[in-house]
Parts: sequence; C-alpha cells; structure tokens
Amino acid sequence: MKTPSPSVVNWMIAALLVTVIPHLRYLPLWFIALLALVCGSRLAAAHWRWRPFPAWLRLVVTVATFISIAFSYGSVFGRHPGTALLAAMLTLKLLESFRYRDVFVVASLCYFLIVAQFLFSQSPLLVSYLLVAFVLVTVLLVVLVEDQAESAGQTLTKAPLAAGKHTSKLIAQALPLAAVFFFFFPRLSSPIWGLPEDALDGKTGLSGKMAPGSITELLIDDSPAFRVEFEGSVPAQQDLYFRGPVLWKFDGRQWSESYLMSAARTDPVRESGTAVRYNLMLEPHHRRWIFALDYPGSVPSQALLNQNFVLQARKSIVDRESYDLVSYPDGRINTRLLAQQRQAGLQLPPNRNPRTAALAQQWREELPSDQAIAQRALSMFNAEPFAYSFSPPPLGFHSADDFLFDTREGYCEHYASAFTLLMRAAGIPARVVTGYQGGFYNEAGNYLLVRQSDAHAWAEIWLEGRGWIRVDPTAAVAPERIDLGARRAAGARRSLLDYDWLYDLQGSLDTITNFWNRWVLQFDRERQRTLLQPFGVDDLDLSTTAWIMAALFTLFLLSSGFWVLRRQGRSSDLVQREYERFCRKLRPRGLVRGTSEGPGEFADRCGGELPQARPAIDSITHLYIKLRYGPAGSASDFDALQTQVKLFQPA
Amino acid sequence: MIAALRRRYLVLFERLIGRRKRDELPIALDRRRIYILPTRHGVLLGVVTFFMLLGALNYNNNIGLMFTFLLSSVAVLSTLFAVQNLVALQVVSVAAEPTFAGRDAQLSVTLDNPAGQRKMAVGARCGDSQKLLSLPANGALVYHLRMPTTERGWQFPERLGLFTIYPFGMFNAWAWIRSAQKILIYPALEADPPPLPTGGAQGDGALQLRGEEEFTGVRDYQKGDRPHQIAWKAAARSQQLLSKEMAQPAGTELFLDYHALTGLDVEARLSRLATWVTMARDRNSPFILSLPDRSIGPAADEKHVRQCLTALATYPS
Repeated sequence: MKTPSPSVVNWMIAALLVTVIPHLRYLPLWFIALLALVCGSRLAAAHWRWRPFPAWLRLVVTVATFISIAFSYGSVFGRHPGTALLAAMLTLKLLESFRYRDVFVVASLCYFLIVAQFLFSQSPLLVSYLLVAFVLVTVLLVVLVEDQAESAGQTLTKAPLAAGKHTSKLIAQALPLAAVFFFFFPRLSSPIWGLPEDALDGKTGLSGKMAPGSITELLIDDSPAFRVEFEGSVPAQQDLYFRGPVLWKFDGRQWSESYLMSAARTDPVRESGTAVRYNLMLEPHHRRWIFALDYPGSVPSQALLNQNFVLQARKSIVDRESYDLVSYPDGRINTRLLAQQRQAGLQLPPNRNPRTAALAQQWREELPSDQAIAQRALSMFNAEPFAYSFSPPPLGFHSADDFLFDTREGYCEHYASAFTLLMRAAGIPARVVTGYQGGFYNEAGNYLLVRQSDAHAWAEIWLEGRGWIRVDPTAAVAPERIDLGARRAAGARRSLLDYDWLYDLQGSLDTITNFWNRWVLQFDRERQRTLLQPFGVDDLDLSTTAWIMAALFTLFLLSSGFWVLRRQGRSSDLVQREYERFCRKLRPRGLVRGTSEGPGEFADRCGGELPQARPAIDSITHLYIKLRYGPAGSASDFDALQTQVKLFQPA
Repeated sequence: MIAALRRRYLVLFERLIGRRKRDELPIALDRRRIYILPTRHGVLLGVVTFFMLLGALNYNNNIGLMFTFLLSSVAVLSTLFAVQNLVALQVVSVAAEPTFAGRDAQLSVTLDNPAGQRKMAVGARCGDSQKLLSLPANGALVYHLRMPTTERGWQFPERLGLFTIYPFGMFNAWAWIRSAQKILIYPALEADPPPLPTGGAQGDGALQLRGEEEFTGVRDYQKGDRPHQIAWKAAARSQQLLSKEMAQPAGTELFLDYHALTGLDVEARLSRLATWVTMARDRNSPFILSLPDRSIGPAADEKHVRQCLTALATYPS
C-alpha cells in the first residue's frame, strides 16, 4: 500500500494551517506550540522518510491535549471548548496521517472546522478567506486522488497553480446548484436545540447602569450597534435620539434601572406630528433593548413597550434582528404622573451633595416655574466655564458637588447625572435616559450607522401638562456633540489610529457589511417568502419550499449533467473537426472508422459501400489529407472542405 | 471465511452472467456501462456534512449554510466528474503471453484516451491485482495485471474492472469489460515430475546425459542459446561467444509419447508431457512429441517448444 508522497503531505499541512489560523485567536497559547510541533514532525517524517509514529505516543499526546483543553476552558461543552476540541483532533490526526484514508479524514475535519468558524463571525473578509481555505482543502482531495496513481509526472500534485485552477473550475460548476440549495432549502423558524449559553463573546454596549466613565468607555468602541434605514427623509442630526434603558435609582455614584418601571407595559405613543418610519437592524448585544427613535409609535410582534417607553424584545437579543418601526418625535409621554412615579423621580441619596441642594433651593425661591429652573440650569452650563472632556478628574463622595462647583469637567454622563440631581433637588421629577445619539450617515447605502461610540446619556424632566420632556445638558455645553457626533466633539484623538479619513473609510466600507447583513446573513424565512412572491408563491410552508427545491435541484443537476458529460475531445484542430463531422455523417450507415484505419483506406471502404457518394467521399478525403498532412493547404482548400462536408449526404 | 464465501459467490455470478455476450475489442466505455457508488470516504463526508447542516440550520447561520450547500453540491457534481473521467475511454486490447495453468498470467491491457483532457487516476483491476495510472490526453497506456489461471486452452480473460475515484475520492465509478479476446493457457506443470523418458524412437537405449564439460565441439552463438550452453572457456579464448555442440547419437532424441503414459487420465498426461517439454527445453535436447492426432518434431528450438505446448494446450479433452 502506497503512503502519501511528501508533496501530498505539504498540501495537507498547508490546508490544515489555513483552516486553523482563524481559530487561533480563540485558542489557548499552548495550542500554537502544539500545532507547530505536530506540523514540523509530520513534515520531517515525510521528507526524511521516518516510520509512522507509534500508537502509544499518539495516545499520550491525545489524552494530554484533551485534558489541557478541558482545563483551559473549564468545561467541554459550548462553542469555545467544542471548536478547540475539534481543532485539536484535526491537528493530532496529522500524527496518524500515513495512509490515504487518514489524509481524507483530515480533509473532512478541515471542512467541518471551516464551517465551525462561522459560529464566531460572519464578516465578509473572513468569508472570503475561508472560501480560499475551502478551495485549498478541495485541492488536497484532488491531489490525494492523483497521488494514488503511479504515473511519473504528477502534473497537479507538484504544480500548485495548476492544481488550484483545475479544482476551481470543478467547484465553479457546482455554484449554480449550491445557489439553488441556498435560496430554496427550507429554513427553520425556531432552533432545533436552542442557542448556546456562550453565544456571544463578551457583552458590549449599554449595561443599564451608569457611573462616571460608563459612557466614556464606549467612546473608543467603533463597532456597530445598529443600522437604520429611513423611509423618506432622514431626521436632522439633533433629532436622532435612540432610546435605551431609563435609569431612576441613584445610590450616590451609580444610576440604575427601576424594576417596577421597566416591567410595566404601556401603549405606544399616539399619532402626533410627523411620523418617522424606519427599519432598525440591531446587532446582537445580549440584552433586550431595541433602540427605537424617540418616541416609539409602534410595537412589533416580538417586542413590548414598557412604562419608560423603552422598546424591549421578549428574549435576549443574541442574533442580528431587523425591526420595522414608526416613531413620533413630537409625541408626548406620561402626561399623567402617578404618585409612585413622582416619588421615584425625586429620589435622592440622603446626606449627599449639600451644595447642589442649596443651589436648587435658591433657584426654587427665585424662579417662577419648573421650566424656568431647568432653563436656568442649562444657562449655567453654557455660560460658566464647563468643559466637555472624556478624561475628566475623578469625583469624590459628593459627586454632584465636586462636578458642579469644582472640577466642572466631564463627559455626557457627568452632565446628565448632575443635571438630574439638580432637578430632583429642586423638586422636579427627573430621570436619566441612556441610549444613542446621532450616527454616521452612509450616503452610498442610504442608511444611518450607529456605533457604540455614539452612546449617549441625557435627562428627562416631568413638567405639568407636558409629561416627560427631554433635556440634554450636553447640548448646552458642547453642541458639537449633538450636531457633529461623538467623535468630532471628542476633539483629541481617541486612540492611536483615530484619523478622520480612516473613520470615514470605515463608515463607507460598512456599506458592504450592511448589504452583506441584509441580503446574505439575514436570509431567513421572511426573505425566502419575499423572493418567491413575485412568482406567485404566496403560502410558503415547509413542504412547498421543499418541492420547489427538489424541482430546481433536478433541473440543475440534469443541465449540469449535460454540460459535464458533453462529448469531449473535440479537436481544436479545425481541419480535424471537419473531418470528424464527415465521419459522423457516415456513422448512421454503419461505416465507422476504425482506430487504426487511415483516411485513404476508410474512403475506399466507404466508396465501396456507397458507390453514388464515392466522388464526394474521395474529394473530401483528398482535401483532408492535403490540409492535414500535406506541405501547405490553403485557406480556399479549407473553405472547400467545409462546404463539401456540409453538403455531404451519404445517400 | 468471508473471503471464501465471496469467492464462491463470484464464481456463481460469473457462471450466471457468463451467458451474456462478451465485449469485442476495441470497445469504448459507454455511459450505460458505468456504475457509481459512494466510497467509504464519501459516506464519511456525507455524515460530516449532515452535522454541519444541522448546526447551521439551528443557529440560522447563513454563511454556514452556504458552505454546507457548496460542499454538498461539489460532492453531488463529483459523480458527474467521475463518470466523465471514464466515459469514452477505449479498451484497445487485453492480451497475455501464454502461461502455464495454475500460475498467474501477465495480462497487458491497453487503454486509449481519445479525449483532449488528461484522465487522472484511472484504474484497471483483474481479480486481486490492480493498477492505477493517469492517462495523458490523446494517448494510450498499457496496464500490466496478473490474472490467476486454472484451466488450459484458449480461455477468456477474467473480467476486467475499470474504475476511478476522481476527482475527490467521494465516489467510485466503475465498469466491467468481459473481453472476447482469448488467451492461451498451457497445461499445468507437475510439481514433482519423474525424469525424462529414456530411449529414442525405438524405445530403448539409455540416453547418457553429458556433463557440462563434455561436449564434442563448438559452434557460433545463436540467439536463444541458454547461458549453460555457452562454452565460456572457449569464448574467453577466442573473444567471441561460442556455444557448445552436444553430440547426439542418432536416434536418441527424446521421445515424449502420449500413449506411453498409461494409468493417467487425459489432463494428467498432458501435464506430464508439458513438464517434460519444458525439461527438454532446459536441457536443450531435441525431442519429438507424439500425440494421438499428430507428431511434432524432432527439433530443439523455441519455436518447436511453443508448437508443442500449444498442441498440448489445445488438445481436446
């Protein structure tokens, strides 16, 4: 039994490395060492003709690896340990790859590992890379087959480019069929065994708690939070407030949600003023908030609206979701305030921030209305030397006092927090609202990209007759934050590579990602339905889809069959082709040219069988011989041959 | 145990389909002749793909689905590529040098690839022996296989299997060729034959076997003379190859007589005679072969040996 040649081993190691490399960022460091060791020893074994590795060695290494993985991850269940085990199995299989069937197992595992990577990310760049990996593994299979033959001069095994080209041609012929499968294979509306615990890596974004620094942390995170496609014109930057968790409770340092307010449900805002219709495509963030534009006027079926007018999903959002929403920016909310809510809106931690309380008292005495007090606070922020910065000095026990009177420097959470406390001290019910403000409008794709760095905190105060109204103290201090966005307002560079052109480029490139998300990744039952509706297929249940798929599958397979099995070996030699055409005409009469029969002999034989056609046969054969074997046949000879063959009838 | 059963089954099978017409060579492989089934590896990959599909459907991971479907399509289409690799190949000839029954015949199978593309890893199998070669475009190659033989005479070769696992090793496509070109099998040689019969045509007189050194003269080397026939010492002296001339008393050629072998049945007699013929050839002794229907000889050359062996092989039973 032959063993795979060193060239095959090279291909195998190449395919393995290309497949495993994207996984390395999730694997423990010692794995890289293991990988290098195993690949190195296998290469050495191939090129220096070592004997296969003994079974006891393989066993020891395998057991050690598995135990190490279990230790590194703490368990063997879940996305991370699962893929780690798979990658380990694949690497260790190299030690046992001295037979053809073992190399085949390596290739199969590589395929599996490629698909496993998509549990972590589906970005277009990664997909392109893994497509190349897929082709490479397929080339390995082709080379493996060729290596089993004994001819000298394995033209594909030794020539990477030729092998790649050959395999790509084969794979390309499979693409139409794959497309049929992709568009028509029935999708499930709910998972088979549910989503895993660790479906996401880390939780980004807003957390429902706000302390000084919480929102600032998000300033350097440019990952997308969600994308909005507006029907009609896009609202002005100043009106783009996307509502997230509303925070009521303050413990002296940190703001947090109120369970009561978040749980109670309410109806959406009534129609008032202009309606803004839009589609929100939300990136998974492991929580339940759907960041609708102030103020939500519709509640999608899979969501509910709480007393804070924050739209929430029924389950944690662990998958990219798309929502069609309506909002009324001029709407009013909670024009009637319950006693409970008033009390919560005035809650202040005891024995803190005396100077703030004093200032609030002073304004309460001086100014006629709540509105005037709020206005006064805003003018204070505007007129006095308050600074907007993302690295302010820290605050002490009396955080509001320190901020308002001493440091006077902070980011949006500081301002929102201080303002709310000030209002509460003045007896005006107030609360903090966190969410997102602004975003990057992508001209090419016509959508708004809102990133984590656009996270924002503002305040809401309750005024008699008007309900909760938004007051954004940041606008008073740094209007550029509202007008131009967080990044521009930040002034200094947020990180080493924070250049304008880079930021804008990222934003533009996001067009591809958006398209990718909408049309490829979000392709689910709903989209399948949209696809088939123009063809009159309205009711799309599982069996209809399956039937359509089967029909198209058969169609494509048949046409592929005809294409692949078409008569081969048509000579590129035109003269030869004409002669073959002539021979084909004679075939129905039973006159088949034998493999060793020369054209002259054949002509004699045919002439004998078909005396009437003899002159034509002789003429054609003569021309053929002249053109093919003679010193120089002219173009007119070729034309004559072509015409004669065309007119030839073996009567 | 299973192998024995399998062999029994195959023999029965052969007998059943033996009635069918044999293939006249040269023959081109037609699509209808070609069978295709997944290999063990293909089944493994099928299982792996199934789990990929399940996982991707569960998480509604569209890219995972795309790759799974791509892999499935590639696998499905590989059936077409495998068939394409075999179709239109021509089996030009299945021939063998005559061998003795019981030994393996050296089969030479010539495969022609008339297409303009190289056909990779096309295998030919006869019984247990197989060979895999890649056929160049517009070219032909000879496959050397071994075929076990049992009976003497003009026999049809055992059925020839042409197969390939191109391109990805997932599917095995094959076709059977039952060639109508017969090959000649000589009667089986005896393992422990008695010595050559003494006496010439008269039937008596011991034939003294000369030793290596005792020869009467030298003659020029003739092509076909065996090494032990060459007079080395004389050749060294005269700088050219010389052969020994063995004097034969007249009338003392070996007489291999069919009728003299009483007590043996036909096949045994033929075997004995064939063995004697080879022994006589090894000794370079001229001999006469006497069969009921004819008599061949006397002569000692290769052509004579062949003639005798052919006569023995084709002797009606």
